[in-house]
Amino acid sequence: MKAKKLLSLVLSTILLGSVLTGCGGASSESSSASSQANGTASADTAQKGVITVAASPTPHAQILEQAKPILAEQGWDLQITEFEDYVQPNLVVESGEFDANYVEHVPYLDSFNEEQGTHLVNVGGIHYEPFGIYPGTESDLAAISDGANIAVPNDTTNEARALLLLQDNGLITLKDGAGLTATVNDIAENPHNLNIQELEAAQVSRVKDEVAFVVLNGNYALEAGLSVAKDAVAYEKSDSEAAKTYVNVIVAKEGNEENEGIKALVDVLKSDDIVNYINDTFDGAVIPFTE
Amino acid sequence: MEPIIKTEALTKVYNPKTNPVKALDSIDLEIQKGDIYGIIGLSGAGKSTLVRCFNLLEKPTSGTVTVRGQELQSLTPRELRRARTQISMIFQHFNLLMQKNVEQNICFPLYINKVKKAEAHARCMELLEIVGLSDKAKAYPSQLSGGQRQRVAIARALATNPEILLCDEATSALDPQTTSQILSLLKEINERYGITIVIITHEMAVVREICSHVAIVDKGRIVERGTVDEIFDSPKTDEAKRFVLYREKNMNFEGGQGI
Amino acid sequence: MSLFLSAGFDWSVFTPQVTDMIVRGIWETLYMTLVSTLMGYVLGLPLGLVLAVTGEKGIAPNKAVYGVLDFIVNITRSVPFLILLILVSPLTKLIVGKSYGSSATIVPLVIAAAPFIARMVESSVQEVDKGVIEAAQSMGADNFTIITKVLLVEAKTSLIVGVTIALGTILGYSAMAGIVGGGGLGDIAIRYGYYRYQMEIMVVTIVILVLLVQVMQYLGMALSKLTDKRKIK
Repeated sequence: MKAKKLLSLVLSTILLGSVLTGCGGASSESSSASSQANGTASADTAQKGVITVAASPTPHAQILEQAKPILAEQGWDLQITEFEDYVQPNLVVESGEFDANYVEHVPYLDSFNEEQGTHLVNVGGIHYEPFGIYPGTESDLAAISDGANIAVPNDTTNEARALLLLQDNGLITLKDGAGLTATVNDIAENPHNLNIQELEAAQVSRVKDEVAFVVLNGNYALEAGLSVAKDAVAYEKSDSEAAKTYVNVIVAKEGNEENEGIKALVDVLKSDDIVNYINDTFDGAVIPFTE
Repeated sequence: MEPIIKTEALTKVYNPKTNPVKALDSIDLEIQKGDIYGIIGLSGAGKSTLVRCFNLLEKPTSGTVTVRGQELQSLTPRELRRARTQISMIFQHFNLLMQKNVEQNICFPLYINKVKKAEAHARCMELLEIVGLSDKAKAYPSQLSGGQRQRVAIARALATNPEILLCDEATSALDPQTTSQILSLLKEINERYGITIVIITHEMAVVREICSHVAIVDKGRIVERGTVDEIFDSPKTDEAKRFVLYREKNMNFEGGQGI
Repeated sequence: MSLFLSAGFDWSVFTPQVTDMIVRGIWETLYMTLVSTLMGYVLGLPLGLVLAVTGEKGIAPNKAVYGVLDFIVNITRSVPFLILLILVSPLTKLIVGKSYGSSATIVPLVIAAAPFIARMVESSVQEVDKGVIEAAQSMGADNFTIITKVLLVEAKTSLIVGVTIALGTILGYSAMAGIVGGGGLGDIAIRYGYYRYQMEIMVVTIVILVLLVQVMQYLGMALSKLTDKRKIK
C-alpha cells in the first residue's frame, strides 16, 4: 500500500496537468438519504452540519461507515466519497470542496505539500497496517539459529520497516539515524549472524519454505493467506517508529484543524467503538493507532 | 567397354508441385573411362545440374545414374558417401575451408576416410608437389591467388585417388593465362593417373584445349555430342554452330589481344 | 572524476559496507553472467545447430523438427524476463535447491539466454558458404562431420562475435536478478540509485558495468579477429 502511494506520488507529478483539469475519479458517493434515516433515530439532537470526507475504499471508507451513525447521533451528517487514487483527495481538500480526507500517511502528505504547494495538515492518526514477521522453517524468534536466513522486501520503505521490526525484536541493531531509509548496509550489530535476504516485495512470501522467517507488509501477507493475528510471530506495535510514521491520518486544510466537525470526526474515529470495530474486523491487518 | 558414367532418361524437375521447371529432360549420356569429357552450354542450360547428378548432390526426379557400375540411387546413404570418395569435384569458386590452411584443406577428405595423420601428411606433400605448391602447406586460402586456390582444390580432390574428377566451371573465375595453366594440370593428371575428367563450361576454348569428347546442352537436353574434332569440323545443330562460331570469334578477339 | 567532485559528488556514502556491497556486486554480476552464458551455450549451441541443420536451407531439412524447435524458441523469447524469473521458480528450486540468490538467478537467465543464443548460432551457421558445404558433401562427408568440421569451423569468427553479444545481453538481464535476491551491480544501481536517489552509488555501479561490458566487448572482438583467417593480414 505504501509503495503504491509513493508510486502514485511520482505519477502525480507527471500527470499533474490532467489532474488539475479535473479528470479525477470519484467512484461512489454514499447516499445522504441513508445518513438522514440514521439521524431520525435521535431526532431530538440538533442538526450541527455536514462533514464531507474523501477516502480510500478499504479500510478507510469501511471505518468511516462505522463512524457515520455515531456522528449522526451527535448531529453531524458524515458524507463519504471513495477515491481510487491518492492525488485527487488532497486536491479536493485544498480547494475546499471537501472538509477532510482519509487516504494517506504523513511522509506522503509532507512530500505532497512540498511538491504541489498545498497547505494540508494532519489532524489525527487513525490506523496503520503493520508489518509482521512470519515463520518459515523456524517459528521461535527467541531461539533463532545462528546464520538463519530472513527474507525482507528490497524497496526503500519496506526494507527499512522490515529492518526496524527486526531491531524492535532484538534480532539486529541498526546504526543511529538509519531510521526510515535503513538498508542492510546500516546494520551495526548482528549477534546471530543473520543473513538478511533482500527480495522484491511480492517475492518475499514465496520463499517462506526456504528461509527461517519472512518479513511482510500487510497486503502481501493477506495475499499469501497469512493473518497478522494468527500467523505473525511479531508485528509493529502501536508505539513503534514505523507505526508512528506510517499511520494513516485524517487530513484537513490548514486553518480548519479546530473546526468542530473535524474535531468530532477525529474524536469518534479514536473512540472505543471504532477501536473495537477495527480490532474485531481486520484480524490484525489493520490496527487502531492509539497514541 | 562399360562406360564409367552412364545416365538413362535422366530427368530433373525443380518445384514439381508449385512452379515446375525442367532442368534436365531425359538425358542419355555415356562417358568412357579415361575421357576428358566436356559438357558445354549457356548458363541455365542445365549443365551444372547434370554434373551434380553424377555424384547425387542433386537427386534426379526420374531416370538412372550409373557410375563405376553402381546405380547411385539404389545406394544407402553410407554407400553413397563411400562412392563419392571416388567421384571428386572442383568448383568455380574453389570452395576451400577458409579458416583452415592448405594442408588441413587437403587432408580433409583423408580425415573423412579415416586415414592416419602421418600418412595423410605424406600424401598431402605428394599432392602439393603435383600441383606445384610445395611451399604453401601452411598458408591460408586468403593468402593465395585464384589459380593457387584452384590448385589446392585439385590437390584436395585427388587426395583419395578418385577415378573421376568433376569440374564445375573450374576455370571461369580465372584469367586466361591461369586458366591455361590449370587446364594443362588437369590434362597432365588425366594422362598420368588415367582419371576420367568431366568438365562443365560455357567456354568453347576450354573444350578445344583439353577435351576429347563434348556434349552440347541446351534447355535441359543434349542437342549434339561427339568427339571434339567432329563437333568442330562439322557442327550439325544451330546450337553447336553457335558455339563453334562464337569460339572462333573469341579466338580472333583474343588473337587481337596478343595472347 | 573531477566532474563528479565539482558537482558535489559525496564520497562519504561509500562506507566500508557500501564498498563491500559493490565489490560483492561485481562478483555476483560476473558469476551470473559468465555461468549463465556458459550454460546458455551448452543448451543454445546444439539447439542452434539443429535449427540451422533442419531448416529449409539446412543440410538435413526437417519441417517437423524445425517447426517444433522454432516454436519453442519463439515463445521462450517472447516471455518477458521478469515473468520468466518468477515462472520458473519451482524449476529453479528443483535444480539449485533454493529459489532466491545469485545461483537461483542462473536458471531463468539460462532459460532466457539459450533460445537467444540458439538464434545467433543458427544465423552464424547459415552464413557459412553453401559451396564449402557442397564440397564436403562431394567428398563423402556425413552430416556430423560437416557440422563439426565445416559449419562450426567456418562460422567460428561469427560465433565468437555472438558470444560477445550474448555476454552483454545476459549481463543486462542480470540487472533484474534483484527481484529474487540475486544481487549484482544492476540490482545495486536500481535499488540505491533509482529507489533511494543515491546518485553516487548509481553512478559508480553504472561506470563499473560500462567498463565490464567494454572489456568483454574488447576481448571478444580481439579473439574473433585473431581466429579469423578469412582475410589477408
